[in-house]
Amino acid sequence: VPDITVSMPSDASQGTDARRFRLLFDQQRRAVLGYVLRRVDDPEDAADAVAETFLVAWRRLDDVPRGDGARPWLLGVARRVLANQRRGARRHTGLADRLGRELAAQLPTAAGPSATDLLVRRALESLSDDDREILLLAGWEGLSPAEIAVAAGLSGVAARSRLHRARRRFRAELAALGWQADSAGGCGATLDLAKEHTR
Amino acid sequence: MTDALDQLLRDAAPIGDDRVRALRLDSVETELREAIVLYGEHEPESRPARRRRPLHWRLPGLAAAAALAVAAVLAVSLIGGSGTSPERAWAEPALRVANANPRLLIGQPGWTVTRADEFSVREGEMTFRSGSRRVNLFWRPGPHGEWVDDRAHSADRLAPVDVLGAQATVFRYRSQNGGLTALWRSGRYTMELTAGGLSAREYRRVLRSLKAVGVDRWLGAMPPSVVLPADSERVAEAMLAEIPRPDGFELESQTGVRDRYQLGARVAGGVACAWMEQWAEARGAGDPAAAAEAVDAMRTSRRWPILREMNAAGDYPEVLWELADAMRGDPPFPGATPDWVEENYREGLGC
Repeated sequence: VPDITVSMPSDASQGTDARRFRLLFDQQRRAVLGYVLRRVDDPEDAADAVAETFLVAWRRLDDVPRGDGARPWLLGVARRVLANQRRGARRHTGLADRLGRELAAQLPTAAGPSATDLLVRRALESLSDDDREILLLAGWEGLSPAEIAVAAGLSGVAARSRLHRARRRFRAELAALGWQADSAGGCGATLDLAKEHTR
Repeated sequence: MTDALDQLLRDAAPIGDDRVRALRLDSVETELREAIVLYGEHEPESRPARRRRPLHWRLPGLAAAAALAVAAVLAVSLIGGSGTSPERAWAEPALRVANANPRLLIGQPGWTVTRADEFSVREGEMTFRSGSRRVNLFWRPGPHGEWVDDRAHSADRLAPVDVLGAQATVFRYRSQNGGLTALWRSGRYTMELTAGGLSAREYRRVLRSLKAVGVDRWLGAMPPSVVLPADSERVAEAMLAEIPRPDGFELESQTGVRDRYQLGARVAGGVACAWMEQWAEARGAGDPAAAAEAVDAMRTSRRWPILREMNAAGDYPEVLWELADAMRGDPPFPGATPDWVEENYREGLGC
């Protein structure tokens, strides 16, 4: 339990910054939560990561881009928060305890992944951490290369080329596992699972 | 094809946006939001400092490092300008960061700084590499003891090591492939050096070799050098000299500060984009001569000096060469057909 010694709200809770932060939080809370839930299994870890991400945003509110740029910036912070968690630098502030409990109660027990999901996960696991994250920022979070550059701390040039490379490697891994894209090159795709994945 | 891949990925996400939006969390999220506003630290640097409230609950590193791209911090790195040394003048923000932070480098040969993109006056981190070996150095304010306690939850203590006059507590994580980490005090900072892929003996040697250096040397060790605005045009012209260009090709004006890699991508990528555009138009218009001219020009790209230089630092040349191979019908991987090139070259090269 955190040893909170602050007993009175400060003036910061009422000013322009607070209004801007509340708006930012309300607009982006589920984007950050979704990002985190797609990357960690433990609801408490997810809740802590959301809290810490927005703590950083509140502390550095002047650095948070306005408008559409806020989301990739926040996801970049969340990415580093999760990296710190994985490095063992997990901190438990207590601020997100209730959020963690609610998440644990509401998130359904995952049904077993489908054969296709398993295939995709295997292909993802074969990528480097960097390639996988860039691919998922595009595929799961729907970020553009320019937004990926912000979230991943890359230049626009590097983000484009790494996304390109990651897609190519992912595609090659999938193909090795039996996935076949529509040879016409359009949006269609067929999944010709290798036998061992369907048994 | 890219759409199909994206769809496949989206479908495999552990939880989709629709389900995240449907969670009934409004009240607990509002509670969290207000707790952050009330109790979180909030001191925008661009404004007069507010009186700091007591925040005894704040655990070390609660405010995780938010990125401050070092490219922006090291906004200008002038050779021969006026400044703190006869050799160099650094941008004021870079000096501010350098003067405020512990400036450590690894004293053993072969180690170089490969990443320093997350630091501010308050805290920071940087990556050193030597071949395949890599260590990360962190500096953060906050109670040293709490950092040590935090690590002790998930790691076993090894024998301490003396680092720059302080005793570093060394840990080996019980998970994370037995990664090593060490924490020691340096002024108001808690320092931490983490490593994976090093033996304990190697790691101790690296720890003991850490040395404090001056501002110039520290900033000078940062990757990679920047190209000054005034030099950009000249440097770009030099990069272009060895590259075959389509008739009428003109390089866009190169303004702003960037490092050679970024400038090289603009220059070589600009030429490659022009060739690929000609090739794509020629294919559509049934002009084999124009298409062949573009293919032949791109065939020379593996010899373009700027791409060879960039190849050691990043993937841009590799992407460009793959496209060049694929456009002449020599697929670098299955499915890399000329049609695939047409669909992907703009995104791959940033055309």
